[in-house]
Amino acid sequence: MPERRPPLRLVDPELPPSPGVADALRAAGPRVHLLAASVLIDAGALDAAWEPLEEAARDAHDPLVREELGLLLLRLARGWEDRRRREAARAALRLAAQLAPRRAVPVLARHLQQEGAWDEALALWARAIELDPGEADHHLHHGRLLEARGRHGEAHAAYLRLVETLPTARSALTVAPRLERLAGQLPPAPGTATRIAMLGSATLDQLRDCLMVQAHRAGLRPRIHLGTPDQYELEIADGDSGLHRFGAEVVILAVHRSRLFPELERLPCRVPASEFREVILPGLDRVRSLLGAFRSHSSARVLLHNMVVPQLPASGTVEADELGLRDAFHHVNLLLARLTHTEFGDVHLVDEDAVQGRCGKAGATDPRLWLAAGMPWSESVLMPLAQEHVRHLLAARGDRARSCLVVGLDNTLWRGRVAEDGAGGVELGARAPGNAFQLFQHQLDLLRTSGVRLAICSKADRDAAVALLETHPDMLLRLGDFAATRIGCASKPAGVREIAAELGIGLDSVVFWDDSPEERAQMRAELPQVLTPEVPADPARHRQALVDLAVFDSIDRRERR
Amino acid sequence: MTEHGRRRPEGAGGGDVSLDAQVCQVIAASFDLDDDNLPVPASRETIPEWTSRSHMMLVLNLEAHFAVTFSLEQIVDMTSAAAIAVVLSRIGAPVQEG
Repeated sequence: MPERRPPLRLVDPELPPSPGVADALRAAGPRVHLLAASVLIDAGALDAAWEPLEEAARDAHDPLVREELGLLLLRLARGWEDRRRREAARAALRLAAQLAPRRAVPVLARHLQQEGAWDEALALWARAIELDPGEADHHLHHGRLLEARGRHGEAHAAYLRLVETLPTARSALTVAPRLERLAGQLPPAPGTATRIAMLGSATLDQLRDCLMVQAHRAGLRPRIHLGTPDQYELEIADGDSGLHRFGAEVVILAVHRSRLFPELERLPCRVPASEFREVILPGLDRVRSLLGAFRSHSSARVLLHNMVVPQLPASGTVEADELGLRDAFHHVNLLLARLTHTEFGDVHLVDEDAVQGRCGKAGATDPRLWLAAGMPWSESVLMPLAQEHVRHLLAARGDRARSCLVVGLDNTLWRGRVAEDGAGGVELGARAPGNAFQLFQHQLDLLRTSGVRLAICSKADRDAAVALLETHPDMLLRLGDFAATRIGCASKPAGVREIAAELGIGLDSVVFWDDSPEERAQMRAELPQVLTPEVPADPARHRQALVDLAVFDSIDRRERR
Repeated sequence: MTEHGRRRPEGAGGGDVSLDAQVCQVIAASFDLDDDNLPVPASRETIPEWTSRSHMMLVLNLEAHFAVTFSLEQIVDMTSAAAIAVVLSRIGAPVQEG
């Protein structure tokens, strides 16, 4: 509370108290108090402004009035802070936090943090995140304070939550050095360490940070060696280079097509087919000798970026010709795939062309960042590209890839509730929205045929659900396609636990996919080892969300069975 | 500007957070620093964390915070908090309410 509360004085601070005016103001309602307080704050009569604000707060029920009051209290608190009246400022901030929590809670948290009231500040930062989860600063303040208090595990989780909430490259670039710093202070986690080297023809720093973050999100704790831009040939050839001394398990090689296939960049608009092949061959030989040189020093897994097929044709409409630059690089990518598959063990292609295609090639490079800092990838590409690396990392590790997908039934495999709507009442088929569920089933079937085990965990009525699964003409999946089922179960976490036991797999091999936010929250709370992703509310987006999950990759899927 | 390199809000009790103060907040957040303890003046010379690599991070954060897009020349010119404020003023960046 403020140190003293002088009576209300609207105009001249020297005037004697005027209880008559104060009473009149009280009767006039909160709007008048707001006006009075605003005038008083502007005039520098901060103590006098407190009373009408406090008075108005007692009866302020209108959300707009409460917000306005809160903002005035923030101004008042700032004024008191300028006069080093910390206690008075705190009282104003506490009241503001009740009236306009979204604006005032972070300010109060910051104030208390400066005062050394760590626990209360932490609770308030957590509250600020609840109120405004999309505000990166709240997450960062929360994480930094946890880190400063030595609560490293919680700080690590707080930074990751920021990236989960705002999965942008900017979040990743902010969080990466903090995760890296914290990783060394966390308790050892067997099986999470991995050593990655990154080499390329341009600045890879930002991609490195995104990879660091994506790897942490996937439960890995990598150490990453970054090569000098455009020095990859020297580093690979020199057995005593920093690259080889680092002893990487995985080496990422991201070289631009202009370095590996300079002849193609100079390709005239029309070239005979024979010349076209000749122009490609030197580039392939360059890749072959690069990989050969690397293999002579290291047996590490290599993730080689394929070539991004140019988006803008160099020669306009002539590019429609089958010998255009785009066709040339499509052909190059096929040949690279064959080369790595047939001539080199443990060299895998990272499909950067597809990643850029998904993100939009037109915006894949920000020309300003390229020219100012040699950054080859714009924000839109960095995180998806790093995720592509992590897919390879997880696939190679086998133990970390998920092998079982547990799904619900109602509103997951079909629209509606079979117990209430009946088999003929649920929506599934060629027409929308039933076709969205059919598409989702198709994706499940693709996963099943590639070795992922499907299972059902549902509270739906068992008889009705089984009848639908077996007889509905538009079902793409049948009961026999599921390796285990718990239909009509009372608790989904219990059902998933039983499914894992029946299949002889760990819970950390399981992905739980359910349309109900409550079921997902319960699963995350009771079985955190199970991966429970968010499911879009719109079924039209279910299939893509499942594809984007990208946790079922494996170098050799047959190993799963 | 005050001795801390930031313009204080006008009037007793203050109003909106000034452009300079917001620039300093973004600089601090970009380099993982406490904005109450930024060096004076805040510039590439005085902040070791302000490298060519992290400069791009700052640029992206400034663009997001002020809802603007900088040109290549502006990106190159923004070597201090004061220089950033000048660029932002020239392009009429909106100042957020504090």
